[in-house]
Formats: sequence, structure tokens, C-alpha cells
Amino acid sequence: MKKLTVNFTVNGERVRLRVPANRTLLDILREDLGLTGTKRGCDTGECGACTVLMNGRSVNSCLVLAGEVEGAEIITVEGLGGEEALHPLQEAFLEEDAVQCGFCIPGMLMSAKYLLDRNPDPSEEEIREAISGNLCRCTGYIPIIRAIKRAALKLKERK
Amino acid sequence: MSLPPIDYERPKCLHDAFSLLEEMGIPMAGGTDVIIQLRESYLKGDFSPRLVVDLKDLDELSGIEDQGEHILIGAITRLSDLIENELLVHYAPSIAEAASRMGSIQIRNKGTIGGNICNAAPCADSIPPLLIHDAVLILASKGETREVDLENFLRGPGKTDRRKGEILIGVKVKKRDEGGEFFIKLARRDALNKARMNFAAWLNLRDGKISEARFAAGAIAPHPIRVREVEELLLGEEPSEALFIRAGRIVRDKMLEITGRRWSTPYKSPVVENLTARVLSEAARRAR
Repeated sequence: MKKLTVNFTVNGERVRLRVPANRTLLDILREDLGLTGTKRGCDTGECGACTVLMNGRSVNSCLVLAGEVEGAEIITVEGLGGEEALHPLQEAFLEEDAVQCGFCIPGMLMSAKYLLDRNPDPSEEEIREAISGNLCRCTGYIPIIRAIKRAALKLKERK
Repeated sequence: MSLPPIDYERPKCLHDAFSLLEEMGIPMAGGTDVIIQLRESYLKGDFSPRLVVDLKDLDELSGIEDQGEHILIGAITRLSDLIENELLVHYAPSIAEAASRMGSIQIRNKGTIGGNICNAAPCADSIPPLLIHDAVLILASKGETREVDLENFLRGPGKTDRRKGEILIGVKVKKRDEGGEFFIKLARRDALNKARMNFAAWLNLRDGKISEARFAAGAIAPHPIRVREVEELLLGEEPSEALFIRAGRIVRDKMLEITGRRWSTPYKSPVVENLTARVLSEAARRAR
């Protein structure tokens, strides 16, 4: 198996890596770059825990091969905001107690960001649809939906 | 993790892609099925090395083009790009509707229409709507381009008429200026689902009678099918509930003829009948 050299950006920073071709973007983020915010759930594109933005679109990073990230712009949950400056979505999730075990939350946040980037004023139905590719088994969807509504308001107020 | 050893190539032109595919390469469009299948084969103990040929840089395979009577959808067009495409929404709304119901947003942002066709799942949601649009596939290999009716291309679960080294360039669908069409899908839940059944119908009316009809069903046979017996029944008739219920019985009998009785038959039979009637009456309503 040949190794590949891939060049791409993660959260605005340039990355150049030499990796085996059978690595996925999820492997690269977690194992090679230490960005463990992105979670490995099902590894088959069903749970959404590994959701990241690739060239502005939400994708399951477990279904992206290393070679596919060449030239791509990746945003992970670490790129949303950190402890010093939380993203309004992160603030809203805390304020609404929308995090229990937290495993699905990075994916939820990225799906929510993808929604709010395109639709700053979503209806409840649109929020439900937006997170329908993200499974949560403990927090429950109600506080998550409430948090996304709250984040939309916060973002509007900041404009 | 747990992917077999692979080599990966992302050719920049068709010529290079053909050469790579001749060496036993696996063509990959969006990869949402291919990567899972690689993983499954690895878990089953198949560690043989493969060459994945990523088609995403091939311009010839991308875009949605107005060709007069037809719309050409490039094979690597992502499902999410079908949903709001104006040409499709206007002339082939059932294709856009089916795309919006497939997988999840993340899957639709990566999965492609060409991948959905070539993966040839019996429940592939894009296929019944493509069938009612008389879809024709454009396939190319080194030195040859051929057109094949989608209906003849499908051979069984995961099986198609795609020859070794061939690449699906795109799918040509007939615009429907007249009449009405509808797509319906039944699954165990609303999102991220596999269709238990899916149906698409297009009806055109003249003087209150059905003058043209297309009806296709998925997941009730080894591959999605056009049910010509239904189309023939409808021609020349006035749309009515009774007529569409008769059509439903034909589809039920067709399913039983192809798959035989299964444990799920007592559930599926009345559902097939009812959904057939529903998709036809909605298509008729839209045709008026």
C-alpha cells in the first residue's frame, strides 16, 4: 500500500501529512492531529458523531478517504471556538443544558453550524431536519433543539 | 480504522481513469457506499489490496445540463445538489423529492446520483423516479461510449450491466412538460432510512383520460422495476380510486410473482396495494 502526501487546512491551519491511503479523515483528525473533539461512533456514516465541515458542507468524516482531503478546507468542533471564546452555539448548548454525556455533541454542533450558516432563522421543523443525521442516546433532542434556537437568536443579536 | 489496504488515485482526466480502472480499480464517486463495502469486506476477512479510483475530479461527470427535451445529470452530481436544482424541480420534481429523502444531510452532501445507480441497491431511492423519466445512462470506456436504458442496466441486488473498465458519465432524463408526477417512500422511520418500498408515477391526461403513464417500484424485487401491466391498465381510462386500487393489486401480484411469499408478505401486500393507489392518485391530482 502506497502512502499519500496530502495538503489541506484544518480550522484555518495548513496541514501536510504523509499517511497510508486507507486512513479516513476521522483517523487523521483523531490519531494524526490529536483533534479528538470529533468522535468515532458507528464508523459507517449513520450516527453523525464524526460530522465535520468539508469545503463548507457537513460530511461524516468516517466516510472520507485520506486522498479526498487533498486541497480541502476542514472545520472541526475545535474550530468553532475554545474555552476563551465559545461560539454562540457552544454557549447556547451550555445554557440550555443540552449536553449530558457529550459524545454526540461535537457532531450536533457541526450540523447546527451547517444549518445556521445557510439559514440564520430556522423553524423548529428545519432544526429537526438539520440534526436528523445525528443520533443522541442520552441528552435527548428537546434541549438540543432549544439550544440551536437560542444560538440562532444570539447570532442574530450579534449582527 | 478497519479499512483494507488500498491504493488511491484521483485521475484528472477520463483517459487516466480508464487506464486505472483496467487494472482492477474500484470506481468511487461519493464513496458513501464504497467505503462501507470496503470496511465490510475487511471485517469478513478479505484483506486483498484494492485500488480505489476517485472520480470526483472528472469535469465530464459533473453538472446538470439542459439539453432541450432532456436533462443530463452528471454521474458525480451530489444528491444535495439535485434537491433544489431548478431544472429538476420544474421538469422532474420526483427526482428532486427522492434525493431529499435519501440518507442524511451528511450523506447527501457526499453521495452522488451515479453512485446510487451503480451501487444498484434494490431500494435505491433515485431509481424509480429516474425510471418514470425514461432514464438513459451514458457509459464510457476506452474507445467506446454507449447509451443504455436504466431499466436494462439493472440486473439484481448490486448487479448491473456496467462492464469492466466502464465509467458512468451521466444519466439523461426526459423532461416532463405535461402531466403530474409523485414519489412516495415507506421506511421504518423518517430520516436516515432504507426504503422498505418506494414508488414513482407520472400520468398525463387528455380530455380527462390517462393518455400516458409511467409507474415504477423499488425494493419489492431484486432491482427497481417499471410495472408495464399497470401502465397498460391505466391508458385510456379516467383516473378513479377504483382504477388505482386495481393497479395496486397488479403490483402486489407482481411482487408475489417475483419474490414469492415471505414472512413479511401479510404486511407488505396491503401496503403495496395502498401505496400504489396513493402514488397514482397524487400523480393524477397533479396532472389536472
